[in-house]
This record gives sequence, C-alpha cells and structure tokens, in this order.
Amino acid sequence: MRYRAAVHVFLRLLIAVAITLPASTFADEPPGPEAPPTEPAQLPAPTPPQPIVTEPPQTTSSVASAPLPEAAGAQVRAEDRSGEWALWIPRTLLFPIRVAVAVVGWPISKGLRLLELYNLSSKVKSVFFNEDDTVAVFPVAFAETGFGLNIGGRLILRRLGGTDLGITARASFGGRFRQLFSTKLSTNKTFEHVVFDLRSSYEVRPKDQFFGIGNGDLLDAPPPMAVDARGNDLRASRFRQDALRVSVQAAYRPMSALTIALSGAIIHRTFGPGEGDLVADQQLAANFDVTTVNRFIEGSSTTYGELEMTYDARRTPSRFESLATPSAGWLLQGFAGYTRGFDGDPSRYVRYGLDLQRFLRIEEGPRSLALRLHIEGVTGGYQEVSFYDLPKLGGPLLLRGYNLDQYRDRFAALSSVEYQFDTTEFMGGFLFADVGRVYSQPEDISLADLRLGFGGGIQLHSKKSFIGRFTIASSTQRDVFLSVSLDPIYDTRARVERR
Amino acid sequence: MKILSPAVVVLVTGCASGFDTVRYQNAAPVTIVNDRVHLPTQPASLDFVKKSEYFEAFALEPVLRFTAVKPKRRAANVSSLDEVPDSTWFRNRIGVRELSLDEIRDGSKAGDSPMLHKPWTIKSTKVGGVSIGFIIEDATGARFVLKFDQKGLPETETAADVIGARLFWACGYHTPDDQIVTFKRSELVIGKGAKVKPLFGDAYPLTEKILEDKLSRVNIAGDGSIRGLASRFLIGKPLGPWPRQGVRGDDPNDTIPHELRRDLRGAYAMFSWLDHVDMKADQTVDMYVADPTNPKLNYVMHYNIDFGKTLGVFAEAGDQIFAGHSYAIDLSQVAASLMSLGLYRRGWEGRTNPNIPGVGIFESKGYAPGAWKPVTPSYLPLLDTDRFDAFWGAKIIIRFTEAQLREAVKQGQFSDPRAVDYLTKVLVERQRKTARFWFDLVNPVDRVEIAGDQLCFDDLSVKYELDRRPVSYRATGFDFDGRATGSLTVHPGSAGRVCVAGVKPTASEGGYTIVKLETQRGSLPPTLVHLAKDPQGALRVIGLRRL
Repeated sequence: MRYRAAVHVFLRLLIAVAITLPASTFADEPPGPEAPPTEPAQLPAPTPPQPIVTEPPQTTSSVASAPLPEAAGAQVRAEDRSGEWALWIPRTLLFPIRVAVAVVGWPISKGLRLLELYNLSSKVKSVFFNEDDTVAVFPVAFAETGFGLNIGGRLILRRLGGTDLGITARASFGGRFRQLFSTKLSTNKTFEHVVFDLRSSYEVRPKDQFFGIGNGDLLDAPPPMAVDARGNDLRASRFRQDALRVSVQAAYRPMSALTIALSGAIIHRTFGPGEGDLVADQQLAANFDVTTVNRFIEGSSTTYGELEMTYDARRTPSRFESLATPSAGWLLQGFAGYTRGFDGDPSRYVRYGLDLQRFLRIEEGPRSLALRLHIEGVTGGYQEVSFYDLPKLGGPLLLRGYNLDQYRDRFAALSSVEYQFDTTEFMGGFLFADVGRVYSQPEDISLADLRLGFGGGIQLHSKKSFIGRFTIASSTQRDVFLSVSLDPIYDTRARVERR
Repeated sequence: MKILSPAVVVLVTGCASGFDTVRYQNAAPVTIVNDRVHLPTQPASLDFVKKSEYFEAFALEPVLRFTAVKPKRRAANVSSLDEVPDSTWFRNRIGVRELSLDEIRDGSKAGDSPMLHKPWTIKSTKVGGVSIGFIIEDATGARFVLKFDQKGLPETETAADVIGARLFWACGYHTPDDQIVTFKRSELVIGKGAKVKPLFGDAYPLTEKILEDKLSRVNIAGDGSIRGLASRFLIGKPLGPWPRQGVRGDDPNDTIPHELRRDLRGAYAMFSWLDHVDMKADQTVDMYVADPTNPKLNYVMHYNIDFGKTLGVFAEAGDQIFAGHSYAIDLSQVAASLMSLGLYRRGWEGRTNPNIPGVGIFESKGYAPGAWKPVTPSYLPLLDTDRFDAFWGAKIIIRFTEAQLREAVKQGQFSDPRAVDYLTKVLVERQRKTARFWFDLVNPVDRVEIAGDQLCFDDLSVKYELDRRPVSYRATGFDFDGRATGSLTVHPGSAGRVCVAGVKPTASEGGYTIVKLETQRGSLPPTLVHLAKDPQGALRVIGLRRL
C-alpha cells in the first residue's frame, strides 16, 4: 500500500513537472547539420468569395402571385378629373409655339446626337486640320451692325520646324471690309519671356465713317455745300480707305502682370469716295471741304514706333467666378509713339496715351464696379496729323451710345463707370455710363459740353474666357445703338493693330 | 330645359360634393408587385448622349412642357397606402424595418473586397470619359471598375460614392457594391491583351508607359499607396440608362411611365438631402439579368449608380458653388438677377467651405429642401415630383438614426478625424430640415393601423421632434358615398402616437368607412383613411389618401 501511494505521488510529481516546464526543455536537441531547403508549402487555393446575403432575393417565383405594377393602387374609383377639359383652351392657344419650337428644336437635338455618337466634330475638324494639328484651313465669318456680313478663310501653320513659330493668314470679304488680307508670323512661346510678331495686312474698307473734327452736335441734314471739317457741327458721311500695313512687335514679359512692348509699323493709306449702297450726300466730299480734311486727297504714308507698358493686375478673387469677369485689381497701360511721314507725307508728331482701369469688388457673385480713365493725344498740328490718325471717341469700345468714331480731335478723354453683376455661370449683366469728349488741345480740357453715353447689356462668357457682349446704348443725342461685340470692352491689342 | 353636357355635370357635381372621389378595393394593401415576368429577348441598349440631352433639358423641354399644359398627375405606381411596393426598381428597407449597423456598413455588398485578392489585372481602361479608370479583375476573377479621386482632392469622390451608395441602398434603391480600396503600383498588372478604349476611335494596346502616365494623374500617398473606388460589376448585361420619360418600349414589365413613378420622383428628397446634384440619365443603368433561382428566366433590374459627386463634391471639384441651388443655366434666376440689376440674392451666396480634407462644399445653413436643384434639369422625373412624392422620400430618410448615418460616413475612410463628425452633423441637420419642410406640406401621419376599435397613427413631426408647436387632432367619419357619420374622439398619446376611438364600420357595403384625420398645426391638409371589413369581419385599413 505504501509502495503504491509512493508511485502515485511520483507520477503526480512527474506530471506536474511536465506541465510546468517549458516545452523547449524537452524539445531541445543537440545541434546537428542544417536541414536541406524544402519547397514552400503549397497554399490552398483561395476560397471563392461567397455572396453576402443580407436579405433574401426577390425572384420570379417569389413574386409570381403578386399583382402587376399597374394594379398596385387597387382603386375601384379614381380621382375626379372632370375639370381638366378646360386645359384644352390654353393648350390650343399655345399650340403654334409648341409646333414652332419642336420643328426647330428636334432637328437640332437629333443633330447634336449624331454629332456626339459619331464624333462628327472631330471628323469635321479633320477636314480642316491635319493629323498633327499643325496645319489648318477653315472658313471664318462675322457680322457687324451697319456693315453686314464678312466671309473668308483662314490658314494656320503651327509649330514650324518643330518650334513654337506660327503663321496665320486670312482673307475675307464683305461687311466693313470689301477685302481683308492679313498675315502674322509669331514666335509664340519660343522664347521664355519675349514674343516677336511680324504682321502685314491689306484692307479695303469701302464705307468708313467720318463726322467731322471736334466736339460739335450731330446734325441730320447734309449742308447745302461742303463745310469746314473743323466747324461747329458734325455730319455723318462715308469714305473709302485702302490700308497697307506692315508691323513688328517685341513684347517682353518679365513677370506675369507686366508687359513691355516695342512696336514699329509702316502704314500706307489712300482715301476716296465711299462705295456701295450710298447716296451722293452721304459722301465725305459732299459734306466737308476735303482740303480741310488733312491727307484725304493725298493719302498718308507713315512710319510709327511706339513703346507701351502694361501693368495688368486684374484678377478674379474667387475660383468659383469666371476669369472673364475680373472683379478686383488694376490695369494700367501707357504708351508713347512717334509718327513720321515719308514719300511727301509731312506728318511729324508724338502720340501718347494712358488707360487706367480699376475693378472694385462689391460682393461675391461677383458684383463689381469697373472704373476707367482713358486719354489719348497727339502733339502735331492739324496739318501734321492725318484726319484718320486723330484720337477718336464713339462706338462700342470708347464712348458707347454714339456712332463709331463720331468724335475726333487732337486730344480725347474718357471716363467710364460700369456696374457688373453675375446672373449665372455663363452670363452676366452690366450697366454703364461713359463720359468724355475731344479737345483741340490738352489745355482746353474742361467739363463743358461733355458727351454722356449710357446703357447696359448682357455678357456671355465661359469659365475661362470672354465670348461676347450684347449692348444697348444711348446718349444725350437720343440715338439707340444695339451692338454685339466679340471683343472685350477693354481692348489690349497693340495700338499698331487697331483699325 | 337644356341638358348640360356630361363634362359640365361632372364638374358641377364634383364641386358640389367637395369630397375626394377615390375609393379602394377591399383587399390587403399591396407590398410587392410582379415585374419579373420572363423577358426572352434582351431589350435594346440605350445611349446617353450628353450634348443632345443638355440641349433638350435647357432649351427644348422647358418650352414643350409649358405649352403642353399637362395636369399634375399623382404617382401611378403607389399602393393603396400611398407607399411604393417592392419591385425591380425599389425594395423597402429602412422605410419598413430596422437596419443594423452592419447592414448600413455593408450596403449592397456582394462579395469580398478586392483588397483580399490581389494582385489585380487590368483588362482595359474605362470607356472614354475624362476621369481615369480601369476595368480590373481580382485574383478570384471578380471584375470591378476602378476609379480615382480628382488629383488635388484626395478622398472626396471615393468617400462620397461609398457613403452615397450605402445610404441610397438603405433607402431602398438598387445600387452597386462600391468599396474603397488602396493598392500599390506593384499590385496592378496589365493583363494580356489589355486595351485603351477611347470614347471614339479604335482601341489600342495598354502599355506600361500609358499606365504610368495615367497613374501620374491620380493622388499617390507618400508611401506610394493609391486610393481608389472599386465598383463591382453588376450581374447581367447592361442596357444603358432608363428612359427619362415614358417606358422602355421593349420591356413589357415596364408599364408605368417613369415620370409617374413614385420611386423615381420621390427620390427628390434623397437627392436633395445628399446633394446629388449630378443626377442625370447616366447615373442610372438597367441590367438584363437572369433570375437567381432560375437562370432561364430573365428580366430587367434598375440601378442607381455613381454617387461620387454627392455630399458637395461636385461644387468643390468643379468649382461650381451654385450646385444644388441653381441649374447651370437657370432662366428663372437669370431673369430675377437681370430684373433686380444684380440685387437678387441667390441661394448659394454665402455658402461656406468646411475646408476639411476629403469633404466637399456640404452644409445645411443655406440648404432649402423645396428649392434644391440638380445642375441640369435633364432627369425628368424630378420635374414632376409633387409634395406627396417628396413626403414619401422624407418619411424614409427621417428614419435614419445618427448612429446609422455615422456608420455610413465612416465607410468613407477619411484620414482627417473631423470629417466623420462634420459630415454626420450636416447629414442630420439636412435630414431634419428635409423632413420638417415636407411634413409641413403633407399631413405627416404614418403607420396607420387598427388596434381593437381604435385607429392609431404616428404624427411624424412629433415622433421625430421636428415641430414643438401645440397640436390637436380632429377625426370625422364618412361612409362610402362621402356622407359624414360623425366626429370621433381623438386620444393623443406619447411620442407622437395618436389613436382615434370609436371607429365602427358604416352601413356601406363591406362596412366601408372613411376617417378624415386633421392635424391642426399650421395649415396641414387632411388625410383620408379608408377602412373595410376583412373576411373575418374585423375592420382593416385598405387605403390611405393624402390630400
């Protein structure tokens, strides 16, 4: 008995020791040679994913005894619609509008559908552009109120010789230009901060307008005989102009807001009677003594050199607003240029000018005020400056509410205030007042007889760029002008390129 | 004596009686419909053509709709209780039962995340489109569309998509299984024969160079990981979007014109809540599917897809602050701005950006539930939404608890901890604003049922503490012909539960009884509850007519 008890105690002790000692104590084996490398164990193939079922599926058999959708309402008597017959009255009255809109609209909709489904715009583009997008020939057209339709073609050559050089050539006819030929060679982004442009153009403009020189009132009736162009009153007349122009410009942009441009041009103009559907008393010579319209008979041949500096810090403070509607910042542009005649042209004068714009943001939207001051002058006398080159006011860009180039003289000053507001992402509205006049010389500047133009309109733009403006403008003259402009109101093209 | 024309007679008598004319079958209300009748021939695929659709939406349809002078029609696919039965379009979930947090988290999950089965093999790029995407297969062969956030806006679209997909699924819509994934470049391999598929033109081989170029335009984290959205391929064959109006002509199961579908019109409340401003036809897809239990039977299922621009992401990513408040071209706002010379203050002015990484421009202060607009008016069912449709939608969304919303938002996997709190808070505020608005236009009675001889219902405005104004109720009985049988006693209970005592069947056939419930708070219109005796002789609710 004592022996069995001792064995039991010993076994219990042995078990206790076995449990408490770490397994490695028993597992340790004397180190031996390294085991040979084995193939990695083959992992079982991943279990195909099981669909996760959170609700039993609805199937054809589970819904077989359910009613059809149209029977869900279980109505034995429907709502009373007896009064709806009266709707036929407005329906009938509006039917012509409905038909007209449908007749016009559905073909456009189907056309757009085809355009997108079959990528027609790309196919059309491939007719006018080559594969590399470096050569393009396409038609252009635009219309101007008072001048009609201009149609032509444009040739574009890009990335010449693998560089950023580009050539644009254009020929068009009609509208303000009976003929318009132009070419442009540009270095574009070839050089980091400088762009060189070489341009040439030949324009035949059969119906340019001339109202006289000075700030006089515009009379309706032609005079009984031709009068001094620098008389008290203005009269509407037309003339023809042929202009040949070659210009070169170097624009240096040391930083994003600052541009310094040096330009030069040779310009040869000849003038004559207006052409087209004009009556005799609309001709310039019928209204004005042509000897008082400097260089009208002889034409003008001049060279022009100019230095222009532009500081453009206009900006769009909010990323939610279109870049075409700056609502803060400044634009300051000043220039000075010298004109010298050749080939018998006695022109010798300095042209100078300043354009100052300030955008004041009133509120997000944006709603803003655009303030502008524009002055332009020439130092030469009336015998030294061609009538055509006198500073001008009037038209959709300078002194709205008046005829294009209605006022011209040796000095012009204009101030403008425009209230701009956004109506939607693509459209904005504006109201403006333009005040200005021309003077014989800067010393004559006064607030007397200022010309006031006012109006408003709608501007269309994309998120990034200006598309166009529709303006209704009037003035103390009481004429009303409607204009559609594809140029932004504040023209920053080089002076040598403007008209 | 001159005999009046029938139309005039009906008009006159209709006016004289002054009582709604609708009556219901004496039958249990329908909770599910059969639109799964076998379709042996696959319907034709429809295209979404953006230019054409936008032109119609902005220029053509407004004039055609105005000149059509169509009467407003109530939704045509509702049950007698003014609810939407289950169908291939919609399945009642949170509207009729509690959803667990797990269900909210998983949504329409249909399988493992592809994160568990790498590497992924690219089969092709996404067809066309501006944004980058690929068709991938995970190691098990499951296919996904892999999409990415816009560069510079990490987490925004991917988060919005998974959150939106889960919430729409919980509301009852059919949505794809969208999941956020992260991967390293080495876990993405180009499959043999993988192609780049432009929108137009021929496909061409996808090379490593092209892949690297595409991936250089997505957000890549400092550790080289890339975040994306994996959207599992829907089962079946895609048929393109569903028609914006009318029916799919070659689908005999599609019998209710879409502009009369409650489930499509009522989604206005969900869309406005979640700011689903990019809603248009190509955010929908019909799939020709085989029945799960009998693959020889086929029908069309209808899905809502692409929620990446919800929760203010569209406004943020597209720099379009007006989104949700105005159409891209909104003539009414243009006119108001022009006539007021810019003084008219638009709904989005003053909108604030929370500036939290991953979160769009999403807030509740300027949110107007009844004035919300998608960016384009091209999704026509929304133009026909009436207050009953929006009320139905609001009734569904108010059932989400804050915990459920937070669980859904957490699936966005935001790196900034503020994002979950902010989005949850705004979702709750917009949810309550939405419900409060529509519950003020339609008598918010719900869960109407007979308990003994009492007719009981919930006043949702009280139940969800949306309106603390004093309220009383009035109930009046009518027979089948609209003759009053007398006032009934109302016992307001707690938590918005109200019971009407003494409801007895009338002498009309089948004991047809109508109880007019009036909630005297503001100027709420009444609700008519239609009752009749069941085969056992007990009164039951057979219809609910909201006025």
